[in-house]
Parts: sequence; C-alpha cells; structure tokens
Amino acid sequence: MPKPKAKELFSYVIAPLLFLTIALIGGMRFASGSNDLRFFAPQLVAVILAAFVIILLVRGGLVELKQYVGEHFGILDNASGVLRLATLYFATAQIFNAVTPEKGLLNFCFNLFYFLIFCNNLFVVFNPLRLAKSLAIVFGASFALKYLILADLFAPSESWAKYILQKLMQTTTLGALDYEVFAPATGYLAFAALALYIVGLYAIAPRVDRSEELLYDLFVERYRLTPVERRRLLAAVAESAAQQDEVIEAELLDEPEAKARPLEKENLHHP
Amino acid sequence: MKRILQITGIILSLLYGFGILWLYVRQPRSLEEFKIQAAVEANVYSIKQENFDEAVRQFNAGQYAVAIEQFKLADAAERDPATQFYIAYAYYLLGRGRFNDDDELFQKGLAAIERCLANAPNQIYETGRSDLEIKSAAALRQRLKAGLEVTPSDFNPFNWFKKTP
Repeated sequence: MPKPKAKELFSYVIAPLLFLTIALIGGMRFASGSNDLRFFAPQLVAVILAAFVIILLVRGGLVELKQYVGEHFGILDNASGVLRLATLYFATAQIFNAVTPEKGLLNFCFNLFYFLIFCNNLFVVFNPLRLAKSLAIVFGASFALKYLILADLFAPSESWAKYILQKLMQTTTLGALDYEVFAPATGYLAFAALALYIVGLYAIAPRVDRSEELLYDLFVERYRLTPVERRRLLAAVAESAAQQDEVIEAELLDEPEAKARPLEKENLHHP
Repeated sequence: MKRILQITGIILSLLYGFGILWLYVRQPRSLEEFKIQAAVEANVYSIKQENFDEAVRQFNAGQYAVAIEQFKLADAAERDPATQFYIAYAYYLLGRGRFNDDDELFQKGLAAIERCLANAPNQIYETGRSDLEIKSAAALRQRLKAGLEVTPSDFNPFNWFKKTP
C-alpha cells in the first residue's frame, strides 16, 4: 500500500480534527472560584458572523470552493469537502464565541465592530495570506481586549479604588455594562483556540508564489505606476496574449495620479 | 489511498463532532461528572453500594442530614429511583413540623421525588419498607406539595398533637 501524502493526510484528516478541537475549546470556560467547567454554545450573532467570514474566506481565495465541492467530484469527495467546510465554519463561530464578551453592552459593541469590519472587508481586494493576517489581527485585538483588559478591569478585587471604578462603570451605564468574570484558565484556553485557528487558516490557505504576490502588488498599488510603466506593462500583456488564441482588449487611460512614485525596478519585468 | 484518508477523516470528524455536541448538551462541570454522564449514556452506571448501605444505616438511626449526604454520594448521577426516594423522604422527615413545614427542605424533597419518578419505570415507584409512613413516591410528592401550600389547617391548634419525627 502506498504511503499517504502529507498534504492529503492534512486536508482530509488533520485539518477537520483541528477545527473541531477549536470548536470544542472555543466555548469552554472555567467558572471563577470553583473552576467548574462550563460550555457556552455560540450566540446567533456569532453564527451569522461566522457565515460572513466564510464568504470572506472564499472571496479572498483562502478557501477555494472548487477544491472542496463540485460536480466533477464523486460523492465521497463532496461529502469530505462539505464536512471540511462545516468544521471550518463551526471553528469560526466558536472563535467569535471565545473572543466576545458573553453578555451586555460590551457584547453588542464587539459584535457591531466585527460586523462593520467584515462588511468593509467584503469590498476589499485580498490575497489569501493577507486575509489570514487581517483575521488574526481582528481576533487577536478582541482577545487582548477581552482577556487582558476587561478581565482585569472586572476581576473581583480587594482594592477599594477598583471596586468603586467597577460600580461607577455599571451605574453610569444603567447596568448595561455587564461582564461575566471567569477563572484565568479560560484565557489560556481561548488563546490556544485562537492560535490553533490562525495556524489552521494558514495551513489550509493555498500557497501564493512570488509571481502571484507581484501580480497582487501590481493590482493593489497600480496608482504608483507611471504612465510609461503602464504602457510597458500593457505592451507586455498584449505581447504574451498575442501568442494565445484568445483576444484581449485593453485601453490605456491617463489618470490624474500619474505623478505618483514609480514602483521599485525589481518588481517589474519589462519586455 | 486518498479514498481511505477521506473515509477516515469523515468517520473521525463525525465521531468527534457528536462527542462535542454531547458535551455541549450535557454540560458536565468536572471530569468526574463527565465520567458519570458517560457511564449513564453507555448504560453501565450503577450506584455506590457502600455509600448506599451506610446511608440507609444513618437513615434508620434518624441521622437524616448525614444520610442525605451519603445517598448523594451513592447516586452521583441522580438516576436511581430508590436512592432519590430515600433522599426525598429524608428531606420530608427533616422538614415537617407540628405547625408548619420547612419550605426550603420540602422544595429539595420535591426535587428529589420528581427525579425518582422521572427515572422509575412508568413513573411509578413504591418502597418495599413497611415501617415508612408513606410508601409510594406519588403520595410523598403529594405530601411535599401540600406542605408547601398555606392552608387554613396550618393554623389548627390541634396540629400540636400530631405525630412528628
């Protein structure tokens, strides 16, 4: 029997189990004081936001749908693909669950923040690696805010000043600023879930080679090309396209930002 | 090879996924509770006989509070009708009074008898002990419910002469 390829082993077995592990630990909490285990299912808003993120992952090229499901696949391939997508979806929902405060005004503010960020991201051009980095920053910032700042701010304390501050915050917000404090182990667990999620995303992302990265740079930072560089680029594209059967039409427009700085020489291969 | 990996991935993911779902539904609070719940699901759960025997001994000796503790240790999953009946009865004996009954203890007794009936076949349970005043779980539940209500008979001065533990 031939040895399994590492890539296939990861895609079909390890990645789904990794994402399921994230789905398991993303909702686990340890009660403050007693250290009792508690399992929090994701809120409806987390489920919706996770759907947003999946759309974003597909749009950003981090998840290539044609590698998961399609008419050209057999039943087993499709079943495996759907299951892998489902595990990614559950893990994403549980990551929102882990890094968002459980209730109150803070929960609303965090969710609104995610919603606006992801709505904005739907109209931004990404490449897979940059999307993974962007998600890491959003979730990382939420994690830091919840488990480093808010957890410390609302932790039971013998300090009178802190007690007064907590009461003041609750009173001035008419009780809306409600925060559930958990044992410190919860923070470690959430960190593990987040780290695994980022690693998982990075691992399932299709590899971006140098030429693709350069193409992305050209597309995103096209305003930095001078008119001469644009003409040369178009000429190069037209020349290579002329060797193919397909016909492409291109039109050169002079844009006011043509005065912008030229791209670095090594990034362009002139014909 | 690819097919084997796909099948392995699907089977493992489904098993793991159902395990996670079970944890989120059952909500065990500790590893000990997890073990008990898993034993209940696997139908291999049984009460701790040593604790049960000790509890019955304490119950017969009139040490109801100690008996309750031992009964709880004996039936950690709260699934055994006989143990839950004893717990309810112990709360009943602790809580009943000449003029009025202790609501808090009766509430706990009512919760225990509800568990007893929920786990008993056809929701019917009757103890084999002839020395107990109330023998059926349904009758004990009725008595506990009645004890939680305020009725004119609660103010009857002749209640002083009724039998108490």
